Order: sequence, then C-alpha cells, then structure tokens
Amino acid sequence: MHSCLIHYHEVNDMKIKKELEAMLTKEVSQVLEKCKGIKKEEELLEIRLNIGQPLIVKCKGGEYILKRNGEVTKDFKEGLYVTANMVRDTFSGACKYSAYAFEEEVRQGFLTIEGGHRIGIVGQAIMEEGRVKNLKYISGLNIRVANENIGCGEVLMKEIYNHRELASALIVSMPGGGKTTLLRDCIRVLSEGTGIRKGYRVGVVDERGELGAAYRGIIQNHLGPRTDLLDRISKKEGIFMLLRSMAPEIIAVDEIGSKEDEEALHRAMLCGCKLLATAHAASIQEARIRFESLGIFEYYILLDAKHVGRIQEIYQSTGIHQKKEALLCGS
Amino acid sequence: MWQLKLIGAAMILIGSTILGLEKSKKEENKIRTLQDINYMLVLLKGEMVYERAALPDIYMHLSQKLSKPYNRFFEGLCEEMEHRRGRTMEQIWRERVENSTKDWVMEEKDRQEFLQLGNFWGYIDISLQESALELYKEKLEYRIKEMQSTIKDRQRIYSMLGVLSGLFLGILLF
Repeated sequence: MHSCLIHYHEVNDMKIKKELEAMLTKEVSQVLEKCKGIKKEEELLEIRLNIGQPLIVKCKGGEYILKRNGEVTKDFKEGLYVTANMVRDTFSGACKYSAYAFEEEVRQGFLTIEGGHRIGIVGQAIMEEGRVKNLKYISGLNIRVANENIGCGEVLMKEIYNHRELASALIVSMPGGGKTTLLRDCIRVLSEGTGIRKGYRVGVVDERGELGAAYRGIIQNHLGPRTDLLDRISKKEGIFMLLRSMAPEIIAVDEIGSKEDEEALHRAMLCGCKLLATAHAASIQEARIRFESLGIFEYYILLDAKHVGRIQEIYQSTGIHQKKEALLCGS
Repeated sequence: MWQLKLIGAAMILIGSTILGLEKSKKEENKIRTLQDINYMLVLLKGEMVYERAALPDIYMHLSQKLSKPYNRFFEGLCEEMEHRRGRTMEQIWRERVENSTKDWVMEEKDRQEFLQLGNFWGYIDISLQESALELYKEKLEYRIKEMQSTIKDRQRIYSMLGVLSGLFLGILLF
C-alpha cells in the first residue's frame, strides 16, 4: 500500500495540491507527498496541526498519524512533531501573508482560502468589550479540504424531487459529514436541470466562501449556469439582497442556526422561494426540534457521520419517514 | 602630428565630460527610483488599508498600474507567492529583490532598506501593518530629502570632475 495523499494525475487533486502547497510548509507538504499506508482511494478530508502534537490527517477511512518519512503510525510519539513555526508559517501562508485582510474571519475562528478549503484556528483570544477582537498565540489549525464531488447530489435530488413539486430541504449531519459537499452539488443539479426537470434560478449566499470558493470574484466550483452567488456576506443580508435583485426560485445557504438566519429564511419562504440549507444536528429528531416550528422545510435529510457520503435517513414533513442507506456518488 | 594630438585631446575631453554628466544624471535617477518606490507604497497602502486586499492581489494590481521595471517586479512577486513551495514571505521578497532590482538605479544601502521591507508583511492587525509601512515610508522620505539637499553639489562636482579630468589628460597628451 503506497500512495501520496494528493495524487498528481487527477485534475481535481492537482488543483487541491496546488492550493495546499501554496499554504503548507515544505516539511508538511513532503510528508503528505511521501505518505505510505493510506489507500489511494481515501480522499483527504482534514489536516490537523497542533503545536506539540503529531501531524494528524483525516481521510474517508479514518484518522492517521503521520511520521516524518510519511509512514502511518498508531503511536503519538512517533508522529511528526508539529512546531510553533510550522503552525505560524502555515497560518501566514493561508493568509498569503495578509493576515490583516482576514481579520474578521480570524475573529470568528476560521478562514476560507482559495479552493474553498476552510481552516479552523485556535489560540488565545484578545477580548475587547466582551467580544473577541482577535486571536494571538495561534496554537492549532484544522485544515478542512474542500472536495468537490460532482454527481453526489443527483441521488438526493432524484430521491426528493423526481416527478414532484419543488420543495424546501434541510441537510443535517454531525460536523464533517459531507453536508457542504452535498449541498454544493445539489445546487449544481438544480441549476443545470435534468432530462425531466428544467433548471432553476438558484441564489446562493456563501457566507464562508465554501460553496462557490470564489477567488478574485470568479466561482471556482461547479454551481451550474443559473446560479447567482453572493460571496462572504451574512445570510440575513445576502438573502434579502438576492430576493430584491435576482428573483431566485431557490435559495441555498450553508450551516444555518442563528435566530437571524431563521428570520431571513422565513422571509424568503414568504416570498415564494424554496430553500436548500444545511445545519449541524445528530439526528432528524434534533433537527425537527430546532427547525420544524419555522414551517419552512418539507424534507429533512440526515447524513451518516460515520460513513461520509451516505444518506442515513429522509424525513418528509407530511410524516413519511424513510430509513435510507443510499450511497452518494463517488463515496 | 600636433593635429592628431589635438583631436585625441578633444576626444578625451568630450568623453570625460560625457562621463561626468552621466554620473550626474545617475544621481538624479537615484532620487527618481526612491520617489517611484514611495509612489508604490502609496498605492500599496491604499489597497491594503482601504480595500483590505491580500498581498498577491495588491502585487497583481501594482504590476498592472506601474511601468517598467517595477511592473515586472510585482508580477514576478505575485507569481512566486502563488507557488510558495514552503518559502516564507521574507524569503520570497528577498529572492525577488536580489534578482530583479539589479537594473534599478539606487545605492546599495537603499536596496538593503528595500529588502528589509519584506520583514514588514503579515501583521494580523491592520493598524500595525499600516504603522510598519508608514515607518518605512518616513525613512524613505527622509532619505529622498537628504539626497535632494545635496544633489546640486554632487552634480556640480561630477560635471566639473569630468571636464577637469578631460583637460588634465589632454594636457598630459601634449
């Protein structure tokens, strides 16, 4: 078993490789390239860098500790020791040495880089008047690799939209369950249309820049020809702007949860738009407790947190409950 | 025979005068280079502070706005940053300054100062980043003033040295 985690021969991986290489330190890049003991099919999902801890990568098959020579080990002590310099340089690389340009994102504890990869940041918070002003002594980074999985949304779209009216749906799972990847492809499917369905005008509010991964104003991911994307704007403002200006038939947003989000979604629903959203929840029941009272969503889709890329359950607000084990494309 | 000597002496005189004038012109160009760098900083600061643009984007914009040889410098810098290959910003800046500013008319100590600018990038706080740039800008403006205050004297010396050395060599030839 030998493979490098970022394969050279595939176009998508090539893109990921370039984006990560521009950010990671030479040492970490080399370890990922030399990586032995992880199957080639295993998609890279996360890279964890915590000062004083070993380098950990998360793939579809699980979590691996990597040694300096790229071998996988189970012993924490044998892993490549992450230094303060590694974390600092990776952070600087992720910001392209322009940390000032990402001040607002750093304050929220994450930043999204070219390609839609999201980097979680931990460190010591600098507080001012009871709110986080900035982070200092950055001690750890969690790089979540955005893997565009074209085609994975078709299974779900067929399942809930085939021969039926357009409906609002909420995709839920635990963190890392593949919600954003699935939502991204659902947007593409709805925007492109299928043989039996026309394409819809989809408005996307990409608060964290993960859906479209727009770079210098150009959408990097495939979101379809009828998609209008508002990048790095709050859901509330973005939804209102789309409603006012772009006449969307469907509005898609990632990771809803706040009261403001709910109000904006409700407003969109009253305007006749259908909604496609994701949220963190461990079960359909939990999602229903939180969102059913809003009366927005007709479908609740639970993804399997243990097996990324599997639909575990679909619930229809009319009361129909389906236990699904549908496998999404390419998973 | 004396006619040939006269022609030779005249040519030496013209040559050394031209050299003197060239040297004097170079002094002017040194100030112009520093003024160009100062102008770059104004543009850079504007994009950084008011647009909050990231450095590669700023470099790209500068490469489009500035003329030769500065546009090439920033174009290259932008490309290098896109393919960082594990290097730090300081290293990228250093490499670029060392390789691409050889044809810029400036004194070595000014080049070293420009090289130090590479250490000023990457502050997380915008006001700190702005202050760091401002500090370099102040130093630069002071240096420009210093050079401007002495340029007339230096230019006069170079021009006179050119003419006098030409005359001296001409007389020696006779």
